[in-house]
Parts: sequence; C-alpha cells; structure tokens
Amino acid sequence: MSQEPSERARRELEEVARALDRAARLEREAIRASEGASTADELRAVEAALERVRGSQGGASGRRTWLIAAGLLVGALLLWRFLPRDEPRARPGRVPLGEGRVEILEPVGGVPSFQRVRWRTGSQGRPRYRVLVLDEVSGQELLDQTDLQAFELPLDNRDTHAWQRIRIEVYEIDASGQEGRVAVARAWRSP
Amino acid sequence: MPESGEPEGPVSALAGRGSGASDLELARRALAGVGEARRELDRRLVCVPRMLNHLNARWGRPLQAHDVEDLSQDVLVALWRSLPSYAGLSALESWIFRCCHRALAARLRRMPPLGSTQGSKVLEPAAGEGPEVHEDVYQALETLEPRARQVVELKHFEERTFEEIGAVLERSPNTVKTWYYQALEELRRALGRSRGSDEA
Repeated sequence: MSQEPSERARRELEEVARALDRAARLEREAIRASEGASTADELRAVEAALERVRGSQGGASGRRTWLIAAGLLVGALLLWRFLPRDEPRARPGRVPLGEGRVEILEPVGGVPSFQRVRWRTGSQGRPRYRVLVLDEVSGQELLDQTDLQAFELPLDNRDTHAWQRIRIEVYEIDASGQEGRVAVARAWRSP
Repeated sequence: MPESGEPEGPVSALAGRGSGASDLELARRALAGVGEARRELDRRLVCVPRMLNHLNARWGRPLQAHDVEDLSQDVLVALWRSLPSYAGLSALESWIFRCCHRALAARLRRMPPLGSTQGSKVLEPAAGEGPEVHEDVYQALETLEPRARQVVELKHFEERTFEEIGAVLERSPNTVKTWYYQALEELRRALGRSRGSDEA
C-alpha cells in the first residue's frame, strides 16, 4: 500500500487474512471430502432434483413463446382491421349498398374497350337514372343519356373509338324528377 | 448466490486459472441445453450432498440424515437457478461449496436452540467452527470487484504466491501485492460493517 497502515489497522488486516485462510481451509477440506466417483444412486438423485426445475423452466419458456406469438397475431389482426387504406375495404358487388347509394360497376379503371356502363343501387322502388360520360382530359361531354330504368347502358351502338380517359357520372332521379345521388368513376383504355 | 457479474479486462484471463474457464464454459453449455454438458454438470453436482454431510458433521450433526437430503434437493435447485450468475471466478466446486455453506447456515438459523432440539443427538461443533464463523467472510468476498476478488481467491483459496498471481495476470508481483492489500482493506471494511463495528 502506498501509505503505511497504523499498527491497529495492520493487525486488523492480518486478522482478515487469517479469517480468509480459515475459510479457505474449510472449503478445501469439504471439497476434498466430496471428491470421488459418483454412484448411480447419487447421480439419479441429482438428475431427479434438476429434472423438475429444468422441465418447469422449459415449460415456462414455451408458454412465453406461445403468449408472444398470440399477442403478435392479435396485434396484426387489429392493425389490419383498423388501419386506414386507400382501397375500399369491400369490393364492388360484394356487399349490399345502403339506401340511396349508387355504385358504378363498369367500366372502372383500365379496360380494353368501352362496351357498356353498368351500375347498381341500394335504393328501393324503381328510380330512373341519368348517365353522363365526359372526356376526363378536356372535359368534353361524350354521352348524356337520361331517364334510364335499367342498371346498364350498352355502348355497342356508339362510336367509342376516340374515348381514351373518361369520367362516368350516374345520377339517380327520384319520383319528382330531381337528380339525387351520384356515382362517379374513371376509366381508361388500356391494351 | 456466490458469484455475480462478469469479469473484465485482465480478469477474464484470471477466470481461466485452474478450472474456472472450463467450468464457466460447462455452465454455459449446460444452460444452453447441451445434453453432454448437462450430464457432466450433474456428475459434478453429486458433491452437493457430500459437502452438506461434511459440514453437518463438522458442526455437530444438528440436522438428521433426511433433513440433509431435503436440503440437498433445495440447494441443487438453487444452484441450477443461479447458474447464469456463475462467472468462473473460482472453480465450480468452490462456488458450490459456498452455496452449500450458506444454505446450511440459513437452515440452522431457523432451527430451535441446540438445547431444545428433540429427537436428534446434537454434538458440540469443533471449537471456533460454527456455521456463522466463515459466512461473513464469503459474503464479504462477494462485495469485492472482480479483479480484487481474483487476487484474494488465488492467494488464499488457491495458495498461490504473488509471483504466480502476477504471472497469470501479466502484472508485476508488486502490482499484484498492491491490489491484494487494497482488497484486504475492502474486506476489513465489509467485515466491520457485517459485524456492526465499521471503523473505516
């Protein structure tokens, strides 16, 4: 030590060293006494004692793994259910529409040709419809058909070759002749 | 439990003296579930009942044979659960012995006084060799930082000289001696605290 300890401190350090020696002697003696080949009975006793605790630790670990997996699954389901998405959750035609709702089924998105306009409604009774088709780029009116009672307007007899990108609007006309709900869709010609 | 914390720096090398490093590796492999390592560990743990019987005999047989057997089961479970804290600072048998010592001393503290014990013949322990005699020394050792503890373990429990310790630690004997006396001073303070007469 860098500083000479006082006489009393020195004696105390010597006493600590003696205590260490005594503890070490006891330890060595016990270790020596425990040496020797193990018998089958002794080994079985050790294995039996540890088997329980090793088994329970394994079980607890397995349970933890299952709980974590279940938690992750529930979390993923909740995210899938509640996260907002760009696409509509229900595909057209897959779920009933509410009262007064109109939905355009065709043409929507990229289509090889424009053959018909088709829609559906959740309204009761027999409303009439007006179908308006516009060139989406120029805004030019390409088709305006009103007083339709069906849910489909064939385009076979119309020249649609010049139609490239169109906007379709379908209006529902009530009994008093007022245009009500409207559905809008965009479609374009794709090869 | 007897050991805690990982050695660092040159102490890592010290942990390798004797069987410390291989024992640490054995413990890690057994904990990882390697069958061969577990079988080897079980074979080494057979010393638990033997050590408890030895201490019980030395302390005047305060426990009967079946009590020692029960205690052995408890100690084995405790050893397995605390095995992750074994840092290889001493041989596995030293670590096991100190756990046995602590467990038996704790069990005896919960027993009625010697004179009131019924049904078992209690002998007087050897002079100055009661269960409480070394317990505070083992506890104080655990308060030392790893390097200081290694030096003390090597000096007293492995009976190495300062030159030998210096060779293992790759330090001069004088440096080791300085560490040793600093460790003794730490131990003196720790023992003073545990005996309620801290004079540090």
